[in-house]
Amino acid sequence: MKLTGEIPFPKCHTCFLAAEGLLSHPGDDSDPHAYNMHCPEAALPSVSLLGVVRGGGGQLNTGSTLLHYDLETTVYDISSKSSVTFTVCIYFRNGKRWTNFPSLAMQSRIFIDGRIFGITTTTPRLAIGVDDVYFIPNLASITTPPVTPTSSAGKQTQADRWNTRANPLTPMKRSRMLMSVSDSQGLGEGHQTPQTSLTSATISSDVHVPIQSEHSNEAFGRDTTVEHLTPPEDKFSADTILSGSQPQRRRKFSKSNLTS
Amino acid sequence: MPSQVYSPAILHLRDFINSVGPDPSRPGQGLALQIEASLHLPFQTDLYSDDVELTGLPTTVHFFASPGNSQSYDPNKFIYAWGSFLTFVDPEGSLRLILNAHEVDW
Repeated sequence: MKLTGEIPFPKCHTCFLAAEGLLSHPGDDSDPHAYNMHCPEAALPSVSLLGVVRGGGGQLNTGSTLLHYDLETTVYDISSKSSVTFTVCIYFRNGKRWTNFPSLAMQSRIFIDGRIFGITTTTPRLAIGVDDVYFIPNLASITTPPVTPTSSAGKQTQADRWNTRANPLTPMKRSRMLMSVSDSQGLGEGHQTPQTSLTSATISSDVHVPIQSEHSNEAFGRDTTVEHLTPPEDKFSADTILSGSQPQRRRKFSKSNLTS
Repeated sequence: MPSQVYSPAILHLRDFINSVGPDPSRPGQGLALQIEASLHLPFQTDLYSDDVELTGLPTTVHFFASPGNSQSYDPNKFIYAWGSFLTFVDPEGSLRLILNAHEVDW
């Protein structure tokens, strides 16, 4: 297509085109002579096709018949809403282009680029001059590859790479908890802090809990996992609820316990 | 969706319209058109084989015209078309080509 019209602002860097119309190439067909004068030169229709090799003939650089193969393909015809199988004949040009090209095995699947240059005389089929060939594995030979230890190990490594990644909340603190427990065992009672007592309860219940410290921020203080710290005996059990008795609550730890 | 494996078969052509009309395979759809053309195959010096003849290839192009352009396809107009194609041999023994065009430009 080409655009026609005026350029209203010729001195501007940006070209604004007030198009009077959007005409196709070669243009207005009301004048057949001018129209045909501007038509593009004739060219062979180009095709891209995937098919199965069914037969062949001819020889490369020898004789008057070009090396050729029959290529069968099945397509879906949207007009008839059914499958259609047809055969084309692909031809290889003489010259050096295809001298090192291997012979195509029967039943092999290939994808070709080429151009239609005629119709075969023996059986009416499209004659396509090949520009390029791509080999496609046969569907029958495509099987699910067995899971090898190497491949599974690779997947495991990839999975572990994410699972062993440092958690933004717990792992660092857990290591600090473990360290504080071991430290508390090695240190005297005078060195034990309320924080270490809290972490020992955390480890016994196997629940990740952020360390309560003076430097802890509000977000840590609001951590709902602290609720799981409550020892089982502090919970209302089914027996106590049924018997109607109120369980005795353990006194909470406070700094006064340490100082006393 | 059909379960059978289909292959791609794509054709690009540029040629003149011989005739144009409604697509009989899609009755009642105003934008569904059918173009008849005879593909011109110019002689190529490097593509000659004694079992191939150069002749006009009867071609039928099915396509949907864009709204407002259904009247723009006239006989003798030069078109560019591309889409999925297939071939078959008609009862007279002649090879025919059908192009289900994704687009027909002019």
